[in-house]
Amino acid sequence: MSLLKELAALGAWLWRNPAPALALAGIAAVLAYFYGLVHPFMYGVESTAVWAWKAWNPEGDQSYGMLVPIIAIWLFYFHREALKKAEPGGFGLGIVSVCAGILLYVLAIRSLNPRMAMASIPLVLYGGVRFAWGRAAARVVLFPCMFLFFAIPVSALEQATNNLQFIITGAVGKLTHLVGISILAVGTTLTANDGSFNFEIAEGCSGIRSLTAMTMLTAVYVHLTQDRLWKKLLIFSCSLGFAIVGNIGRIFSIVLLARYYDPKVAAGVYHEYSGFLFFPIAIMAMLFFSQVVNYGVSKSRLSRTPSPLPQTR
Amino acid sequence: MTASLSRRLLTLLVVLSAGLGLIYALPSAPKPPAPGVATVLPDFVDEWYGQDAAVTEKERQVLGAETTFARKQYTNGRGASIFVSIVFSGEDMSASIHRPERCLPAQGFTLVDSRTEKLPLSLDPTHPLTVTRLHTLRPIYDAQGRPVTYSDGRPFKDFSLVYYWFIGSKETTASHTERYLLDTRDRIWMGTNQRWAYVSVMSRITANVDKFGLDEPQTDELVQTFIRKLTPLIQAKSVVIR
Repeated sequence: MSLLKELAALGAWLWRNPAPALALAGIAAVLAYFYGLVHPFMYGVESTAVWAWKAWNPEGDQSYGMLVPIIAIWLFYFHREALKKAEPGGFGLGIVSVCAGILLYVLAIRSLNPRMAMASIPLVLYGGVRFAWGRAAARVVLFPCMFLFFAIPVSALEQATNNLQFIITGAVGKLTHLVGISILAVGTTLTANDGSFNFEIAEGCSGIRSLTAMTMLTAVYVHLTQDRLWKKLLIFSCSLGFAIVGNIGRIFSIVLLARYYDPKVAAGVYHEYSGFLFFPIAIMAMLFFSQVVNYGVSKSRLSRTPSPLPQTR
Repeated sequence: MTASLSRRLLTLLVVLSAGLGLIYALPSAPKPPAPGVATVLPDFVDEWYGQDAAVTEKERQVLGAETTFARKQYTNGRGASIFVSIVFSGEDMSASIHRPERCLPAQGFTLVDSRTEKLPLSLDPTHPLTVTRLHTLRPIYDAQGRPVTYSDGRPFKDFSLVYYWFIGSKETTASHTERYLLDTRDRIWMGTNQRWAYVSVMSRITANVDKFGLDEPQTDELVQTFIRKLTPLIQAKSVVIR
């Protein structure tokens, strides 16, 4: 069924059921008011939504944040049939999650911390679904709700990516020695011993953008394709490794080009566009690892996933 | 079924309205406390004479508009030089205060190693000041952008030592993470958004550029002695040294 037909069916249901429709509209209005109109941040001029919109900027390598709500909504839509089939029951614990989200929001206002306010949204949404529609529906929306945590700008994490730079520089240094290129890898710099080129492995080349993008991609991949919780957790926990492998491949290719073609081209045009190499390499690493994890599992069994309800055994 | 759903949605509406509405019952935030450190660096620190150093345009662009600075280049009669910078946070902490491990590489420095040091101070001999010590290097390039090398072709490296710590309105810390936790604690319990100061003291290791230059241990001693003399001049006595 197309998106328009789905929306028409939802509209018809709301029209036939005015009481829940009105309550849902009220809930949406309350959330829009507190997260969109109440403006406690930045000297009382920015709401949670406005702060997030401004924080999702390319200068801070956080622009991927804008994609997160869109992907989360798509995931809700993807699971629509499972939501329709979800049996009601087991509502009680939903209110606990809602209250935890409320507490976090109040603390966020008290401590003037917009990130904390953003972190309260997934808890309120998940708890709300569980309280209104029950445990089975909540299980379906658990991942899309938790995926919203990726929308929180994490500049502090960016500061933790220095070690990634060191790992990548060291690994590229060893790879180049293997193929007979003599370079000096110190800290985050790669310098040809003959002085023909010198590269600084900057944050943007190794850090938060690729790390977060790969983590998000791996999260969606394991959610949609893996049939066991342990596999999901295992593959997801290696997303950092996939990002490192992708960046090592990308930077190694820059060094090869600098050595065998032209350092200026390698550091210029090629460097600008070599970001496109990152994802194929990182995704191949992810798919390979997934194959290893699923070794011996028949394709027919894997193809049955995703099941109507995500399995969390 | 629908009636039951309506009842639960209505309950949810009431819980959300009442719960989120609690923000209107919060006590109003007190005036932010004064920073625990002077906003101007002294002209003299014992034998050292300081001259104002510029804040670069890039720093002003990258850091929040409310970020303020105190910055001096100190020199002594023996030709040694120490750079001191204090960055004061604005309303958005994450746009002002950051770890130098992040900004130094952006300025062309590479981190060789990092560790914490405890420096006893005359302010409070029982509580040494904990600082983070970074050992950095920066390649030097000629006018054509080529790395400057020694006669045998090895690239020339310019090494430096950077000591940094953070000063809040009540306490100091050498850790960015701990500063975040202390700040969150004060925001929640007292509702205050204090101005943190990020203090960094930097000196080049001049042994490989000057015949009479200082090697790494000598530079360590130089900077640590300077910090011991500077801290009582700029830090409020009420600040707890950690």
